[in-house]
Amino acid sequence: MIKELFTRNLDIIFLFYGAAFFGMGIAIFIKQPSKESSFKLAQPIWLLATFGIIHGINEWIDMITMIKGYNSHAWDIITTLILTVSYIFLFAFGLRLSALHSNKSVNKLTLPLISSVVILFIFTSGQPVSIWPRYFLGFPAGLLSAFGIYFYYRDNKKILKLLKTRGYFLIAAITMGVYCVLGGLITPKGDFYPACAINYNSFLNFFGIPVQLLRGICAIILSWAIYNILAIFSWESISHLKSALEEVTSAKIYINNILKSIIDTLIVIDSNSKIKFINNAGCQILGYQPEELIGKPATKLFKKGTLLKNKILRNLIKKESLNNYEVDCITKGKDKIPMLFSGSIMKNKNGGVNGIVAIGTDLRNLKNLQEKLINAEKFAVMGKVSGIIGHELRNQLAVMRNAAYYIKMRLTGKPDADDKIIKNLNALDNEIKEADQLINNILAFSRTKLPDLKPVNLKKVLLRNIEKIVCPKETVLTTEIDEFIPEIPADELQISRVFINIILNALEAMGNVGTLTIIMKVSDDNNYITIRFEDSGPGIKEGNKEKIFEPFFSTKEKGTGLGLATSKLIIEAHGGSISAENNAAKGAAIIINLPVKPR
Amino acid sequence: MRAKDKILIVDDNEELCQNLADILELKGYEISKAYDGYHAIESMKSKKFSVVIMDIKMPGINGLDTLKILKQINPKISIILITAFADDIFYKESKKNNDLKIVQKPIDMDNFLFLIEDILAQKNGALPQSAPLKPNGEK
Repeated sequence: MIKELFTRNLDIIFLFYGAAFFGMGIAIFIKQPSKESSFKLAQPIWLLATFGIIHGINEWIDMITMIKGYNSHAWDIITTLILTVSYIFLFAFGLRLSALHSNKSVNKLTLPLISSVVILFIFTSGQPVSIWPRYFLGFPAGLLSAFGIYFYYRDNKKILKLLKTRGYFLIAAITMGVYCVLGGLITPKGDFYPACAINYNSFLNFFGIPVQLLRGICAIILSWAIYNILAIFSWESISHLKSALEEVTSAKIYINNILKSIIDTLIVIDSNSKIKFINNAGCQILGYQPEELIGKPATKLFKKGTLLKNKILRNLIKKESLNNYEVDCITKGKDKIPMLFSGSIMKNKNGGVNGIVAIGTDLRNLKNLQEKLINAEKFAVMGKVSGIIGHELRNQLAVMRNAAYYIKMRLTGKPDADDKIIKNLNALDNEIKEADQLINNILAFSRTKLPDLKPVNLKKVLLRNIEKIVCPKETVLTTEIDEFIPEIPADELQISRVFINIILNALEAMGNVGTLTIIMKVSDDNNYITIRFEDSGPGIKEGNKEKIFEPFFSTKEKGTGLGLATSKLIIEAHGGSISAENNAAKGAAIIINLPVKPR
Repeated sequence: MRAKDKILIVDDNEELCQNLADILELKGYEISKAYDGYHAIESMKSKKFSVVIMDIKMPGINGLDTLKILKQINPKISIILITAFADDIFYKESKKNNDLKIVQKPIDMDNFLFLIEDILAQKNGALPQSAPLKPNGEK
């Protein structure tokens, strides 16, 4: 019953059988996996597709043969040749796929040789013609493909498991194996073994169903499995897209990081003069948060009308770029900051102005440097002038002092030399000494030389200088010095002068009554030695904290105002810093930081 | 009583020469004056001085150069240099050279006179060397 049903409707089986393979071929071609795919399967798969299409057509021809009842030897030969061609492609697919596993290329002559033999037999053997392509091409082709797919699956197990296509590979391999037996070994009946024993008729008799039905089922399962396997290429392209997207994102983050980390101000203004981007440095200098600026007019950052009045924008647009334009920026706190801007026009694809990108350098440091340079020049001139004046004055003072001495010598013991005369002569001598001291101070300041740096133990230098100082009775001088103070490069004579200057200043500020505490320690980062002189005097007026280091600034009645200025000069020449502040409790503190390593 | 010690004062400042001479004459020394290095050398050739007091900065030939020539004429001569500057170099120089003393202007005369007495005492071998003095005679 069933046997008859199938046998009579073999044409319908051929229809689906052919459709399955044809569809597989078309599906593969539509998907067209890129040859560059990391899945090597993409390289030979077009051969499978070609096999599918030709073999599908072959099945349909079989269907037509059946329906139309064609039955000539010539027709048989034509259909068999088409079958042969389809198997050649499957064979080639099998070979190439196996070669992926074994990494050995098969002799290029194998396939043409077998094909020639098959074609020769077709024309000469006298046996049913389709036997030959099935035995010599179909069977080995199916076997190679089955093992090829299996080995491909084994070699790429991990990734295929991840892509959940492992099962399809196994199904495809098994189906291919079954198909190779059904298509390659079950042939029309021939006169020789095995074709005489194992053939369509014996199969039908033994199993009760025609082999073509099973082949058709194999074809459908195989096509379904291959169709699912094709998904790996889609996933691959998706993952490519993903990684490309990741690359773009990381590149964007990278560029943003660069823009944000630029030390200078970087600002982008769009064609409506609105701020489109400003980096961290710019925000910090100007005292804004980025969101307070982005989308706001750029004029917000400049004095009203500056940009237009100075024709900056007009020039910029005309020349397309602008170099080193100095302009004051206004911070959030309304402070003026001198900035040096360089900028250029950004153009869109059509050549229109898209915006302006500009880099601004904070000139404050430069201005400070300029001031320092001017001061240095002033000091140099002052050094020369004071040197000349000092020399001349000292000669004159020398004559005066000698004269006073001479007169005193002559009058001493004489009856008309009363106390008053002697007192006056002493006063003259004292004033000359004072004047000489003033000259000393000026020369000390104006002729402060570059320090002669040698390893110096500051602890020893400080203690030695404290010993030299005659401390008033009502004054307590204490020291808190770290156990270990490393030797630093310094000019011992100059540093001694600084210590003595500061200590004497402090004693005087306290009116010689109180406590002077000197603290010496290594900074937390080990880069500096910090020396803190804390007195219990009246402290320093808020506005004078920096002025006390300026030359000729003095709050004392007597004093040249050069002690601290000289100290500052010396400390800065050592690469250190000196500053003043008021103690939390009482009095003032002078803080010196000296670098441990030479700069 | 031995003969007066002879002292030569060399300074381009004539007034300074004069009142320094006045003081030293009052102290009993025999003084000659020269207002520049050339005259100092001339005087040196004609008279035997015990001590020369000389300015460093002078027009023509300066004190340091004059000093070398004076030393050639009389290697035993003691020289006190007086200067309105007191550069470190001179101090180093004076430390190396025992015979060379440097005194800074304006001169502290008490110390200065003591220094001269000391030098002469050593020269005449009458007294042992007294305690060392601060070379600039100041504070």
